[in-house]
Amino acid sequence: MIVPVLDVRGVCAGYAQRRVLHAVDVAVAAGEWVVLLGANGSGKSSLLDCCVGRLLPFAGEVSVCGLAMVGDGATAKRRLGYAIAPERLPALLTVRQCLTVQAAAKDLRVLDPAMLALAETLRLTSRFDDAIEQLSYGTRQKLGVLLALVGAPELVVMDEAFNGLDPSSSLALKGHLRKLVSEGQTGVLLATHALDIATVWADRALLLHDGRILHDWSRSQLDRLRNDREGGLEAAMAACIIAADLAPHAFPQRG
Amino acid sequence: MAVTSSPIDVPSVDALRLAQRFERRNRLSACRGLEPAHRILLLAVAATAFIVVAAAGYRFCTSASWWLDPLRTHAPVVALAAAWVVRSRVERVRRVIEQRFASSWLAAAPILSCAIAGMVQRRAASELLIMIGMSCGLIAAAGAINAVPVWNVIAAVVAGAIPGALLGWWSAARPPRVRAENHVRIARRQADRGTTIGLGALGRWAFAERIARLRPRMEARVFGAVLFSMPMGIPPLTAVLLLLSLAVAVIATTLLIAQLAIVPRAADWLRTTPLAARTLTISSGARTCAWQCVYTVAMAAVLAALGTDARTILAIATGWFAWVAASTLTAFAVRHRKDRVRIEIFALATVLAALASIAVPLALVAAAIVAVVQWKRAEAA
Repeated sequence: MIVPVLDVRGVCAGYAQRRVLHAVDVAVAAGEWVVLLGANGSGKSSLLDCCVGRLLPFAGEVSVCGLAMVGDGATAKRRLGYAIAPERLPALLTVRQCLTVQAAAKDLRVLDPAMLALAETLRLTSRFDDAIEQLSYGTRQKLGVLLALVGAPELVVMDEAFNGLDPSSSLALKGHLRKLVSEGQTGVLLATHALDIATVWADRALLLHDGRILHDWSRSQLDRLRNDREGGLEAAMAACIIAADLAPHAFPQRG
Repeated sequence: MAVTSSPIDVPSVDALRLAQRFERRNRLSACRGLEPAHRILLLAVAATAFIVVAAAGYRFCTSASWWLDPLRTHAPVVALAAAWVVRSRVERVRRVIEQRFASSWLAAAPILSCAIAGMVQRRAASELLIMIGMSCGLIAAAGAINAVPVWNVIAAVVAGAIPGALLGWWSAARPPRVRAENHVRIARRQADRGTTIGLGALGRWAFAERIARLRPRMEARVFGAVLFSMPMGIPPLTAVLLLLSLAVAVIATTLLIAQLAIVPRAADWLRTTPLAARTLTISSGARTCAWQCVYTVAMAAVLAALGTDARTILAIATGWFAWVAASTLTAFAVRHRKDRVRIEIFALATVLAALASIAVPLALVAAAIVAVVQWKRAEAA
């Protein structure tokens, strides 16, 4: 049996007294790029936080490459890369220092040449010795993505990682991720509002609504939606959400 | 595609230590980068603060018999008090550091839980050592100056601190209680004010946010003080007043720090609006002064009830108000004229705020203790 790089089973999670996720199941295989779509506040970031061990679920299990996030967290985190949000990066450190710390956390002595090449493509190398507080939002976003790729992880988790990137950097990054995925060793889970990524680059797209997975589009379905002249994926998403809101009994009730 | 010519050498050090080392190094280089005039000013402020604290400490030690004698005769109470203070401090330090790490950029990095626990232990231990070291140093100095043996007091502090630290560490490991009243309070405030927009709402905002998040646990502190004061011969009402003075000082300082932290943030986004900086300064500054007035009056009332003389009360109130006005104006000036005023001034204001946050409550509490002593002396006479 092939073990998925990410296996989320029956995860319920939230903050204090507010439950955000309701028994969510998601699996990402190696060589698969999965896009997580959904309205603001639908639970995308919370789900990603559960996947990378930043949020402890009330119930359910998260495992990365067969390693449980609760109980074997450090080993599981060694196999994943998480794109840090620009506002969470340490303002005082330089780009080089951030990459060094991330590499040290993964017990690496040198950085992957492919990742350094991507840094060069993203025009980040010239900013290696600048403090993060001096960088623009887009440049910080690039650093966040690079940090996720340190140590060639088997699972890359990204939350709105393409926001603020210039078109050429965005294209280069999508190409790099697609190459990693096509080589069959890496799985990517990306939460985004950019529907072009879902229709052009991804292998599957999941729609999260009110903390539940409403729909799962395969590559062939996404291809059909890309060529659809009556709204495509956007219209399909809206239809799913309206149907769920009109018939809530069709979905599991909130716990 | 050209591969970068900037290879990154990764030292074989724990990632957490490495991040802390880099941060320390960068902070130091930022200090070294200060202009000479600002550096001299910073040194002058630090030297003045040191001299003032040393002089106050010496004065406190030279007339120490009034507080040393009860401590020497009630060592078990001292041990209990030390355990109580250390337990609360360790619990808070552990919770804060762990929460900060959980939302930090390294939260998703493969760092072993023992390394995280080690970091938290080092921080808590260093803070605890400073706290206990300073207390024991003060007691030892007072004992030496007054030629009184104080080893039993120091032993009591250490003996209380060790189980207190262990208890605090253990209790912080339990999941924190969700305080429903805080959520309710925030919700009610929002409901009451609706979507009111204007300077009044803006002025209220920083304080409303801060007050909604205050968790003073006053009941426990007052009860604890009363319990501790019984064997020492201090009447419960005096002990309650002492604790009340501490609470007022802490709340006033917390609100001032909130002003320094939150209002500049508001100023940042308001810079893009047609709202004039002067209007914001007047509105929010007036509210700061109003709140601080209330707290100063409360503090003065408590001190007066304890028997402090009017000159001391006036001196404390004036000093506090001067500090409130200076720090608020500095914070606004720096944020609104970012392009003209060097950012180092903001660093200076932060250092001053940190100093004040320690010095002012200490001064207020010391004044309250002096008042109790005066009262006891008068009673004995």
